Amino acid sequence: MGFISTVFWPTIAVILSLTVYSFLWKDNFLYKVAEHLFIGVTVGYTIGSAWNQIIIPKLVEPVIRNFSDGKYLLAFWLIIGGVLGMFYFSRFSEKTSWLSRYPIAITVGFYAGYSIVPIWISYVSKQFHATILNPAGEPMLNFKLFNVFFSNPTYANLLKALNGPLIVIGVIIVLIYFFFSFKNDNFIIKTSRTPALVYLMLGFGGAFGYTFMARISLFIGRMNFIFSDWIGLIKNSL
Amino acid sequence: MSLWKRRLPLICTIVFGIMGFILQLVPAFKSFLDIQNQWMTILFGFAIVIGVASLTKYHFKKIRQKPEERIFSYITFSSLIVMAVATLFGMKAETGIFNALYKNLFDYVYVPLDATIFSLLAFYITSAAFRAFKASSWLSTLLLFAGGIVMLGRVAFGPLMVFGELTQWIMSVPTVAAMRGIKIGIGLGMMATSIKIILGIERSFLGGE
Repeated sequence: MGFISTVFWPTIAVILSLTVYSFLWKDNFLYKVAEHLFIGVTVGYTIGSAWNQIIIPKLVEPVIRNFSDGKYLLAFWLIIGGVLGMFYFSRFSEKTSWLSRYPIAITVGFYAGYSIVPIWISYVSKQFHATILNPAGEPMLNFKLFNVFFSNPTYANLLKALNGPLIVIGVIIVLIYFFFSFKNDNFIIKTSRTPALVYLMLGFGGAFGYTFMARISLFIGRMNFIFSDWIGLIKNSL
Repeated sequence: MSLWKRRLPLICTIVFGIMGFILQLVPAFKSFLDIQNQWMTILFGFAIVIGVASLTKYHFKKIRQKPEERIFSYITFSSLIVMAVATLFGMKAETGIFNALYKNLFDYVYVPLDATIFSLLAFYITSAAFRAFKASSWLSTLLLFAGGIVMLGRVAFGPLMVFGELTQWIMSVPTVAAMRGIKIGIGLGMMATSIKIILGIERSFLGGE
């Protein structure tokens, strides 16, 4: 039993990791096994966690509690939610699958209305606010910083003075680029197109490099598990 | 347009959309908002059924049409059942065989497969970058330059620390400006779509007749 818990399962993890990496050579039987295993395990885990973390604590337990507390209206409201949720099961039959439109329609409708204000706050209002004021509460277009630079011309002072205006200009021209992407002869729209592309290319390049390094760190983590943790485990067990 | 099949679901969308908007906006409805959030979570909990239904349909079809590949469908179904049973009975349990099975399947099957499949993307990104990052124009050279600097900057040490500083500047000035512009555009687009859904203009989520 000790062998199973200390060596067997970590070895399974190593075999599965190597099986997935075998796809780099070519698509093969073992990779397909690992891929389908992953799909099954993921869906199985989602079913189990939906039952344990949502259905039981948010539906079954509150309904029993509300009935015993005499809060019948609340209990019935939760039961209606449960019944509507069960309408999803109608997807298994072609004849009754239209019933699943009810929970979908309610979910889509509710979150469409519910998310308008948070979207405005986090995606629009806060972004404009951060373009006007920096986190310290100072204006982004702070021209006094240029005076500081001219009185003490260092590289750090130049960057401090330029960064704020560069962000403000960048946001404005990127917005112009996206909103006026159709053919337009307006002078401002025409001349701001190339600088907007410069910002976007630098931004996408930066985002790419960042994502790439995140994936590489995952790869290093897997290699670390195989060549450090697992090999060490095997050496100690033998 | 059938009343039960299309019109009533659409009315539900409009009513619940207006309800969601009002609940978010009026602080006096805070307690009802909490109940409604719990109610919506229940619906979410059942939504996994859609995933299971699609997966089952797809694999049953595959078993019928491609008998040589049915082994993969059996693997999917058996791993689904084993993991679902282990999670159902072992997630909340502190000890026992189901708890041990759940923990081992999660730690040594689910987590390694998840991390490995995502790390596999590093190689695809590299391959895609090799094709996309050709210095064919000065703008694509800029993309190549920014990507290269950030990659070097994330692991910079010693004399290469200059790449670290450059990375910090790229991530905090041009990337912030570009992503902020994009984010504002996305936000306005999402709001417009939400309003279209509430008004019943956008109804593609209800599917075809």
